[in-house]
Amino acid sequence: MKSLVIIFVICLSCCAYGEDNKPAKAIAVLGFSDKVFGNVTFSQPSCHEAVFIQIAIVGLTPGKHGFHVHEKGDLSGGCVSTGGHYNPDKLKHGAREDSDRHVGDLGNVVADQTGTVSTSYSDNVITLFGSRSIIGRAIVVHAAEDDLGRTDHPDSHKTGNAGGRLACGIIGILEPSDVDWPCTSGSSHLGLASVLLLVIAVISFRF
Amino acid sequence: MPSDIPTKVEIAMKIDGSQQLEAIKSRLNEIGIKNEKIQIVTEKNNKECRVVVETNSKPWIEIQETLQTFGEKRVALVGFSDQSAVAILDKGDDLNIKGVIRFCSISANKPGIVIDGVVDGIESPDDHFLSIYEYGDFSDGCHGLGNIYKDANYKLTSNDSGSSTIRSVDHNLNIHELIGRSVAISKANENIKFKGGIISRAAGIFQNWKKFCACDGTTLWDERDRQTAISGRNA
Repeated sequence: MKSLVIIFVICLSCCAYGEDNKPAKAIAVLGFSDKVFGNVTFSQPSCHEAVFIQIAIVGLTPGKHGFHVHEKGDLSGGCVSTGGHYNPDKLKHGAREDSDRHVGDLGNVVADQTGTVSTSYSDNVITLFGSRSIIGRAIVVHAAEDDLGRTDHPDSHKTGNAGGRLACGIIGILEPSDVDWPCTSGSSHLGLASVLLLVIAVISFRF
Repeated sequence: MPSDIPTKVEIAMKIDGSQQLEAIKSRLNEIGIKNEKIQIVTEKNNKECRVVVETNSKPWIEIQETLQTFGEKRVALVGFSDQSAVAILDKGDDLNIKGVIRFCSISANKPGIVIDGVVDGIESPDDHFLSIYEYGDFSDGCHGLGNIYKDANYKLTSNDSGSSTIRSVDHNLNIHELIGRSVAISKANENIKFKGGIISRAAGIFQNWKKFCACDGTTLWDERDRQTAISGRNA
């Protein structure tokens, strides 16, 4: 029962802002660097599911590099004008697995001996839907390792002390490859689903 | 969205000293904006200031036009609560073309945006267009942008200094639906996109103290600064 209510609330909160045909795929092409290039793609089948992230980067120094979603996609001053980590809830900086983390905290990417990153994973916190969507914001790759908020460094709980911004890219809408995502087929559909869930929730409460 | 949510607009101005601040306030008073809704911060030894006005209903363009009575080239809109977007034209094959386009809501409560920008490097601006495209995918040059979004085409015009400018009002669009899509420059009757960029979330009030291009179609504050803004990001 509780889970139903939770699902209802989540669906309502993330879909309420949804628009017709809003796609659930996005891409950031990393640039603004002489050496570091890459693509980061995001896909989310529906608004209450995790975002699948695929990362391909070349030109890094071997080892860990901080990897974050920053608040703005404003590159008019280079990677610097993208603001801080996207953190709408004003939480502490943390690891991707932490409950206390910025929405934009995606931890580190690990470059191999050739400076290449090729990895993929799912994240439950970022979203491509609604007012908290990461679309239009920026992905930034840092020069140093993100300490994930685990050290005594004064910046640890703010930025993970990950150093300068090596490369960045704006997260743009990617042409959707599948046609019929849930939660994207229009507000009437959505309204119906929400009402149905609400009715179920109310009925369950009464009994 | 309730209609009484106040909106803030931030306008940067060149001034002749702090004695001008009272004149700015009284000019704003004349169009019905009370002093408690006006915040002015000076910088650069009182040679520049940021005017932030809180308003429920007045279009920012009216505020900007009022301040432009102090000199058109001295005024630039730099922030609009959370309702402004920016696209830097830096993706594509044509190395000569570059530019910055800003998008600002006309008011917080109604659809309608102003598209405003400067583009360099186009020899015959009058037969070129800026268009909004469905997608913001530049992983393959300008080929992944999809179709033109809601017939959003805007004509370029040439200005005195050899650049092209765009200034257009579109009453059918709002900022929020454009985020993550793209703009690109193309020539009339030719389906080639010379240069484009993703429409992204721009800095809000008092977040943009750095170099930038202005929403009034000119630059902040002159040609040299704009060049720095466009080329300086690689520094």
